[in-house]
Amino acid sequence: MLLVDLAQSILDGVLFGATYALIGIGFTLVFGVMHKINMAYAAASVGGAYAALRLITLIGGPAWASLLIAAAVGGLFGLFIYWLCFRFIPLSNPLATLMSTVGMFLLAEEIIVHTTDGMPQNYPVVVGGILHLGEFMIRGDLVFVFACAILAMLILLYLLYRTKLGTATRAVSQQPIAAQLVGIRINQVNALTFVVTGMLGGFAGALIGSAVGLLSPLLVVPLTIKGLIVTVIGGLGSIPGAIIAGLLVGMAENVFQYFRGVTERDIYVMLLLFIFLVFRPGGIFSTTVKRD
Amino acid sequence: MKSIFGGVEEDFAHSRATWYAVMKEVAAKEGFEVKGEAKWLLNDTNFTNQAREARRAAADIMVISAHPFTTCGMLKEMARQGVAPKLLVGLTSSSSLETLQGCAKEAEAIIIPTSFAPVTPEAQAAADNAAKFNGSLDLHSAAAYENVMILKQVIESEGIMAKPDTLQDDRNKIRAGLAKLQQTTGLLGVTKRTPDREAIKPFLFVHAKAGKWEVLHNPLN
Repeated sequence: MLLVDLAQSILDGVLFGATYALIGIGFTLVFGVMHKINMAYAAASVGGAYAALRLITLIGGPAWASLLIAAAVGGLFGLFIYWLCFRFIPLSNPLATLMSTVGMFLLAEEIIVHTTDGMPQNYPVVVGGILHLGEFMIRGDLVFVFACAILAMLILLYLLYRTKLGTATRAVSQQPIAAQLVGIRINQVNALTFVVTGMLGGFAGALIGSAVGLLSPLLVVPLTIKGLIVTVIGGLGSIPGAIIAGLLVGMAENVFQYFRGVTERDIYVMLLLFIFLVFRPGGIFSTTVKRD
Repeated sequence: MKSIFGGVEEDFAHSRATWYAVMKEVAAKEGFEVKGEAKWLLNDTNFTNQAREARRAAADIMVISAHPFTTCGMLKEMARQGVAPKLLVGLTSSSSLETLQGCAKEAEAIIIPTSFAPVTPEAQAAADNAAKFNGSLDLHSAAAYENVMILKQVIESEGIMAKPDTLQDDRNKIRAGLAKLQQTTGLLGVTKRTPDREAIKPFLFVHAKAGKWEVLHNPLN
């Protein structure tokens, strides 16, 4: 029974880690392009899911439609965050955008609390069902989240490496002045990056709402922390790294909880982060240890 | 029903105290077999391990000592894993609209001891007033309502003047007036005080039925 439970814990953790991966991809994409952290990302993602849930409740419609609505609203939020927290703020000051997005994080959280009276909201099941394999149980919704994370990675990699927008984005990321000299509009590319990551965030927020079964302002802080951990472990700017790190963190959480209990679980996850920061600061897929 | 299993929000003082210091101890004293407890934290979203522990325990009674967000998360995971105890008991602070907003279907039949339900004319009137402003009077807001009424009572009985030159005097009078109180009248009846000023309030049991809280047992009757 011990081995079965351990295997089930690993499986559950890996699948639940897909939700962390989706949030991590958003953090890492913005960092990859602008070399900035958008602290409001998870808050905006949950905000997109809330807006979708409100709309679906008001006008009716199937649960899966909430994913599309959340993506659209998330895109708008992304643009809004770019304009308010990055566009007119000196990017040369590393603290300026960090603080502006922290402010946006708090604002988004407050808006959620005030519009919902802080009440948890039941989120409809988008993909349900449980697959029973002998002693094992596999949640259909988490498999769906997992598939979505992989699909999101493939679409983003395609966008980045096979389209003009991707070429422009990479050019702005690597040599902003040279990119400007060849006629690339930096602000437009940055804004589009925020729209794309915002859409992914809204979609992720709705998927997380469906996987958790609830939306609550209490989701915002843990998702932000998990997103940041995943971004660092995966390697800042690495999309495949974010996916693997998300699954790894999800698994580590469940396994540490299984062996050491819930009160020690986060200590070990933070220790994992610390180990990566010390021995592999470039993240999972970095080839060399780049340290001062 | 002979066995009991707990689910406890480990990082919240009153959730812990309710399970470890009250329910678990009393259950053992009353002859129930305590089959252990599953633990989680206030912000947790994944309850797969905990629901599995509950499934393995297969206790007759499941007690969840947690706030609505994680109570709902755990109940949903229990439903997914087919954990169906004969009796489900919740924590006092979950007997609010939040639980029903979050997981009415999964919380169906959960029984919770609480300090408020609109079972007296005064309580019904206060609940109706709150509803007029789109509010929902529950154990938390009812306690706040009662506190305001206690202050009103003290202000009236102590002759508070509420003028700029009586400010300090008024403050002292309110403190003295509150310290003097041995009992107060709440929405459900008389609230008494222990020597260390803890409130002993009337209570009742509610259960979730078709998305609403209904009174299951009213010791006031």
